Amino acid sequence: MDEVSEKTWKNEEENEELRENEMVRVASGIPGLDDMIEGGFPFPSVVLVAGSAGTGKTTFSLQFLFAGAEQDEQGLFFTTLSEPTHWMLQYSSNFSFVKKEYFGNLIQYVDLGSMLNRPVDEILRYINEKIAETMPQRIVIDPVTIIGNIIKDDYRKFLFDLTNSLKSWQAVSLLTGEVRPGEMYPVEVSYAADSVILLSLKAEGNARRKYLEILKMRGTDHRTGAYPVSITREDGFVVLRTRF
Amino acid sequence: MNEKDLRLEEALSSQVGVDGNDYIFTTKQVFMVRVNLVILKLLLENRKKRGVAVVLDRPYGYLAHLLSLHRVDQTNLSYIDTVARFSGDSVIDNPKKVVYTDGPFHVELLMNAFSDGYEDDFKTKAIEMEDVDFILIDNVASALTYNTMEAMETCLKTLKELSDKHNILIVMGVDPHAHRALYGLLKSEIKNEIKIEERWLHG
Ligand SMILES: Nc1ncnc2c1ncn2[C@@H]1O[C@H](COP(=O)(O)OP(=O)(O)O)[C@@H](O)[C@H]1O
Ligand SMILES: [Mg+2]
Repeated sequence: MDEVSEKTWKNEEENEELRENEMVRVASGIPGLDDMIEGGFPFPSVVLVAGSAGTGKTTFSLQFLFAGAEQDEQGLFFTTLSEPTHWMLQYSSNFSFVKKEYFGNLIQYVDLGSMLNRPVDEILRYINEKIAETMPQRIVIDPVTIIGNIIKDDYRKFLFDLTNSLKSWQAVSLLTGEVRPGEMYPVEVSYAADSVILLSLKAEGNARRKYLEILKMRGTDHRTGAYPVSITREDGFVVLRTRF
Repeated sequence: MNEKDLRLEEALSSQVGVDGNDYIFTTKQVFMVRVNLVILKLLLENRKKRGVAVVLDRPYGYLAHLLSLHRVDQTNLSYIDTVARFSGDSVIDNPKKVVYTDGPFHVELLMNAFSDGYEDDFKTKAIEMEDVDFILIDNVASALTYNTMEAMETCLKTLKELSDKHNILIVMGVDPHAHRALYGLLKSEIKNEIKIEERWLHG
């Protein structure tokens, strides 16, 4: 940590006080993204990362957690898919950003799948308990939309309570949302989230290209429009800086 | 609490309250919750102190819940909650006492929550000074959203007076990079600074 001058605050200009109210931000861990969002995700906040299957939601989320872990930030990954841990490890382990030694300590993995037939309050209590236990600075729920398919009627209230408590725990939380055919993004989640990032696939000739677009980010003067992204083993999820 | 936190507690133990009564600690904003928890555990359990947590940015229940999940006994802890009355949360986790003040917009009125405060109508519900060995402020920076620097200064000065008069330890954290002016203000009012070192936070 470099030194901060000790001169008294009274001498500071008025704009210093304005700057003072600005949000604390945390690096997303996605190369190219932080420049588009004034330096990083607002802390604390809830970010919806929406996209259809294969657009990179899980990769994006893992990369976000690993970037935190590199700075001693605790990560907590909730999966709603009832996948055994070793599957996720297996699929993700060939990304160069993945360090296996972080799993089980700086990145904790929790299966929510088996909880989802329980009453909503119980699901929330379980999530809150896991968070209080691990004290994460970064949280992922992947994908949150599965919960909506199961609990139906209480979903809106659940999302509202969930996002409120996620922020009160003082963390940046990424909720991933599966986009169904004909739907642009999961609307219920987008109401509850502070930010919405849309991932998409577009057919171009025989190939499909991947894109990222920031639909909203509270308190942030963000870039608009869809930016191409690439996902590779070496570099993981990267936003390319040419706009289409 | 895991080994990591116990190491942090050990590091803090040799610094908090060793020289006078007023302390700020500096760390990144993202680690504030964790450091606050560890300090509360140190003071409540290891040193058997009685105290008050002032909660500025969320209903006190989150901190209370955090403490109970980490098995920190809070029967000797009271809360001053500036938020919950707004969000309508109920009392949980059996702390000693919870006092609600008039919202996060008036940080200068915080002191009314103590029996030594200024306003009479608060007296009955107020926190008794005899029950207070320490005051921890949970996230002083969040008060900046709704309060001017002048109000912050007033609040700090009153807090310092209270501390001097009743021999109360005060502790609060600040991120000097995220909140430079606030850090400057705190430095000018408070004598001791504990720099939370990166290696204390390591796993
Ligand atoms: N281990 C990997 N190595 C290289 N590319 C991968 C790897 N895993 C996934 N990808 C690429 O990233 C894409 C998105 O994967 P994923 O993050 O699982 O998407 P989603 O969670 O949105 O369904 C895959 O279709 C593939 O092109
Ligand atoms: Mg996925």
